[in-house]
Amino acid sequence: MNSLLLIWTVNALTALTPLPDTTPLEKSKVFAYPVHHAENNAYLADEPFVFYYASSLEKKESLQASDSFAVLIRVIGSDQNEYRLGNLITLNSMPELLMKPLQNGLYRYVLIPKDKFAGILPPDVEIRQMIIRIYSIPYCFQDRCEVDGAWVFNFPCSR
Amino acid sequence: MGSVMILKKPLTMADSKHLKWTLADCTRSRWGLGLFLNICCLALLTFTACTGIGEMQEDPQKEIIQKIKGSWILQSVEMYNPDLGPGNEEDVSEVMVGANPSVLIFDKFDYLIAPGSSRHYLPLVGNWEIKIQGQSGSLSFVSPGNEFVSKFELSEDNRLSQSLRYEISRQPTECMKSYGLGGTIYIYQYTKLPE
Repeated sequence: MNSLLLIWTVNALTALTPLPDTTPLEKSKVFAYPVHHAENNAYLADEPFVFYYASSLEKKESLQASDSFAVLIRVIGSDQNEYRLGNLITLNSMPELLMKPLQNGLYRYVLIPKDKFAGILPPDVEIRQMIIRIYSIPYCFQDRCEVDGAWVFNFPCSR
Repeated sequence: MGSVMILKKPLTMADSKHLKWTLADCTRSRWGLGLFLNICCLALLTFTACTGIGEMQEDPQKEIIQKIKGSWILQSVEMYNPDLGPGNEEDVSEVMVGANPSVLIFDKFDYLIAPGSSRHYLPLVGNWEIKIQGQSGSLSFVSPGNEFVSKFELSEDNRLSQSLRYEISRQPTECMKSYGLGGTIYIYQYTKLPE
């Protein structure tokens, strides 16, 4: 009886102990690198930002057969205005927005936000927030070609 | 016969009298002279080999400085978050290594990164220094207000390699510290340009 009680106590304690979240890829179809454990989701605009999409975890049926994806990136500047890299009309003719296919249905897009928006942002305006959406290519201008979700990343520091 | 007996004895500087005698004695027979010359040659070869090895092991710092001097071309850049441990390096060459080749030049005391489109989190001009202690060393890039020190282990590969690899981490600002940013480590890999 005592040993049963001990086993129950150990099990209960194990269940209550929070385990560190070390597997972003297994849980989410989208993740970014460098991985920051802080909850503020903060990044640096002048450092490489790597964005991954695991299409094998995609639940939307219309996207499961797709093998080409592109990103649309919007940023909010320190002047509170929004700036865009590409748009839906030109998406099919912008190879620089294509994600690079890796193995096992993984797609990767890498950029240095400050460099990518160098000619788009006015001088002295800093990137404060970046919003990324993913589309299957060729884009069909319908919901079935859009990956559900918009991913937001913060850039709180200026250099 | 007498000369053979004496030559079996180890020769020292203190035995110069014996040596003199031996030499004179040896010349009396052709066989004795041949044996004596053979032993002299062997001693000379051993001495030369010993001196050579001594020179190779003498000053690795000098040797590495000589190897580093010259021009190096940037080949790749990887980044990793030290919190995640080894094996999490991410190749970011496609955005860090520019379309124009980026060349790092080590002069006698100064280093210079020739203007190009590659991104270096390192001032483009400054002084450099190598320090060796035991089996480990450090390469420092120093410029006003900045010092980047990259440590490395000294091995035969390091000393003979034609590639240069250093790791740098940016010095975080107060803002970066408050958001837990700036800890990313960048690994720069260069190959030497022929002189």
